[in-house]
Amino acid sequence: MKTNQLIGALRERSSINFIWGSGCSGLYRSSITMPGDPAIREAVKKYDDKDPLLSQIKRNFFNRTAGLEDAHSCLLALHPHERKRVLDCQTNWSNICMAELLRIGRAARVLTTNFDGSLVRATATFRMTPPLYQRDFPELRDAATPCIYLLGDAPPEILAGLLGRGAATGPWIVIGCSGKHFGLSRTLLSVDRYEQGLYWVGHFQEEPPAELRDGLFTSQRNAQWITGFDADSFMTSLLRELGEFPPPQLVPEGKKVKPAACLAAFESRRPEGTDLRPIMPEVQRLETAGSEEVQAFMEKYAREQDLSFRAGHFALGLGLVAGLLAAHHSPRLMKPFLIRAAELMEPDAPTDVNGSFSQLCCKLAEYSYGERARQWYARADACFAKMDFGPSCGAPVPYGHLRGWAKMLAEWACFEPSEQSEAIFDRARATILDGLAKWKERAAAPRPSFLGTRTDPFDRHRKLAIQGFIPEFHRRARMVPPARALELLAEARHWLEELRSDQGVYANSLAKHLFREAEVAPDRQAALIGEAEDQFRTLLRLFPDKTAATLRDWAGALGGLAKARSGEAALARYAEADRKFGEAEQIEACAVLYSNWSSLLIDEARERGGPAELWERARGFAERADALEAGKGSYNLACIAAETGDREGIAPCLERSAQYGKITRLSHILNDASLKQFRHDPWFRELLDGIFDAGLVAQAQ
Amino acid sequence: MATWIERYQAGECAGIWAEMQALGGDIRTPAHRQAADAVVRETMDRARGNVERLFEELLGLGYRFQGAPEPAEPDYVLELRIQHALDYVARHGGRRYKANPWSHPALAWVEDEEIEVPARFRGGKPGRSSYRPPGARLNGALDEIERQTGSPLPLAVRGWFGTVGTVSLAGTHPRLNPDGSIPALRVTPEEIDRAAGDAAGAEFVAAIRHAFAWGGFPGWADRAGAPERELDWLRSKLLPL
Repeated sequence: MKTNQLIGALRERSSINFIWGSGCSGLYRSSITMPGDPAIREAVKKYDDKDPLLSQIKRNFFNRTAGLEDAHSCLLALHPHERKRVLDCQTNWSNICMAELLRIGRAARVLTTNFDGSLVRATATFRMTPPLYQRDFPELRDAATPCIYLLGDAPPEILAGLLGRGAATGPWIVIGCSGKHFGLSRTLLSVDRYEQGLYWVGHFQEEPPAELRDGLFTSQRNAQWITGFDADSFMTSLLRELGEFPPPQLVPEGKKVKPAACLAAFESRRPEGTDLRPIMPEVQRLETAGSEEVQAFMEKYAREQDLSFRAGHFALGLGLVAGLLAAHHSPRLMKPFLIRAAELMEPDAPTDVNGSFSQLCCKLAEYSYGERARQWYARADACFAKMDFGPSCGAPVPYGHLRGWAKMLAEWACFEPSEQSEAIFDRARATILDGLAKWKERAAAPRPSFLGTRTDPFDRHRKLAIQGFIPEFHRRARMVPPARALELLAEARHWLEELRSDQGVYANSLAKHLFREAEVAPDRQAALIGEAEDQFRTLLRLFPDKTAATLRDWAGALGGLAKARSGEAALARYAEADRKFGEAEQIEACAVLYSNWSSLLIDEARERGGPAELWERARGFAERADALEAGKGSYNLACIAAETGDREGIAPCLERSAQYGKITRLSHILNDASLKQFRHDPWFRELLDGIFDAGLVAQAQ
Repeated sequence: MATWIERYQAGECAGIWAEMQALGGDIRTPAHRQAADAVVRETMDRARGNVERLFEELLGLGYRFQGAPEPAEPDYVLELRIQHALDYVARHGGRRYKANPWSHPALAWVEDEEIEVPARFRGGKPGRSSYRPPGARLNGALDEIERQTGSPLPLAVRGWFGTVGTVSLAGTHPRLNPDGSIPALRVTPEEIDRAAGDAAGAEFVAAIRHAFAWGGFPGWADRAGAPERELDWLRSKLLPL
């Protein structure tokens, strides 16, 4: 069939559906060095000529793809971030023209099993965001147009089903496909007739796949085999006839530019990766801005980040900005952006040693409850499991992700208790121990001279890991029976000894630890508290400029101990804590102080059976905290309202607390001693759904 | 007794063609066909060589072949298509197509779609209006002529188009063809003598021979003031037919 006949036929018909193969990708071999390992070298050589991509995969992931002999199967075995390492694509006309055909409405749907993302990248460069169907695949007639079906991870029967049921939705062009993979030949043969025609563009003079030669390209099926083109030359010809070539977006208005220059300029128009510096002043201003302004900013930024992600960048900006603003605005406002950010970040998250995706998941788990919260933690866990930050990762300190992983697991175990919590906490502990052993081993190894000898980064890393994990032991100890708690605390005490060389950190951690131990060891309470108080005094002596903070910590530790006791023993500790908060107030009056003080008084009032003046004092401090930092005392005010029978007062306080991003996590609210009396009440669930959009009402139903 | 081809190679070119012509339509009988084909093949191989040399030498003399004017703006889409096909042939064509990638099937569309190849890909060689290689399209045109006349074309004619292709040396040169009015070698399917009959085609060969004897410019045969120095130079490069 002649080109002009084909174009003429297509011009008369509706928008075209494409099956887009790897021949359209512009893949090139970026690495040309030969691996040292003989087995890998042999595999690389074996595939070098006939399948350069497969050769590249074997070069990078020999063990991961052992036994797999075609590129698609190998890519399926890899994670998205690993695929990026081998799928090097250069800008080509195929993708540019396809993006333009989608833009002008001449291309309706593109079905592709490619993993390289070149086409999506090209649409992003044209600032287009057509729907990408990657997990759910609507029928072709129900799909938005234009749209792109990313079928790389889908089983072959999905493509067969879509094509079989949607063959009549438009003319079809198959391009860049060999027909050897993904059951494509079988799939095409399964359709009796392509009402608007099927045109398979071969590669120059190459023959159609043997199994199709006589079966598919018949007038009965209305299918044609097109020769004399490769993907680039066909797509440029098609665009010139159906639209405008070169695409007008690439040509500055009123100027004449050679198409070759457009190709070169295309890459420079690609959306940028994340750079937070220019927008940080605006983000800081938005911390105190109204929700409408925040919403508008976030929607715009989410669109930019979506483009950035589609353009092939690691789009972590949305997650970081949403995380920052979530500390100042309501969960209801921020949650959709956090979820969108999670979707954008997840594919590349295993390359992020800082675990930003995990922090996002933890935030979303805070806004969720039960199974939904568990799912967020599980996603973060799965992401950590894919990370490879071993010695060859290039970071100054390898295994840097282990701290974040352990912290996430510990949080999961503590805040979403279940039968698996103990096992999850054990994994957290084992993760830190694994890191400690690895850093110790590397610290002992000879260091290159250029690193110098003054600091030992591994030692510092170990100490930071221990210091960060001790509070997790303390938190866990409150959730388990006393015998198990004592075991955990004994281990924490053992770990603490590693911090002895840093006196300040050691004294602070030890003081809090001893109080926690005293909670579960009443028989040794006096000695433990005596020792703890010595540590607090040491801190006061060592850091006179941090006296207020030390006194607040001291008061908080006493409050924790009081809460673990009852009767006179408790009241005595509440009184001590109250005095310490008073001393701290003399030095520095701040929102944190009044909020914590208010919490102490709520606990004490509950213990005493609630004398009115105590509730009044608690309310007064909460109001002062709220005055100093909007929303900071509102949660306590809600608790006081609940405890004093003022049911009407609960909602406005919780909503104010949420409005300023100061509300505590959902699971805490549902288990809070003051509020849990309402946890099954529909009005309370509706209230919390209004704040967290957590589906509590639906869950109850 | 020496065969036709042996005698032809020994220099009896015109005589052999005359003998073959004398057989009329019988030249196609099995008794003669194989021997005749050997002569046709040898003649046309020489003719192809002559045509190639003429194009080369004429370009060297600064001859300007007549052809479609180059577009003011390059046809980028076409050039991209050609370039990618040439790259493909360079990668996959092997040694066989190194010297002449245009004969590779990956570039068959150039002939099929009657593409005028932009000058930058021709390396100074003449364009489509001066030369078109043999191919399926040309064969189809000849078949059509045979169908219309009801008899096969002379062996020499089919041999020419099967081996040499379509040739036209029309153009201009200050001495060889000052204003383009000197008739030059021109062999196209449109100009075939349809009444030539089904014999060997000695007349056709004679006409070609005559054209080569005039360095590709038979028009000088009946004109005064021929540029002898240039014509001698061209003649010296050609093989006898």
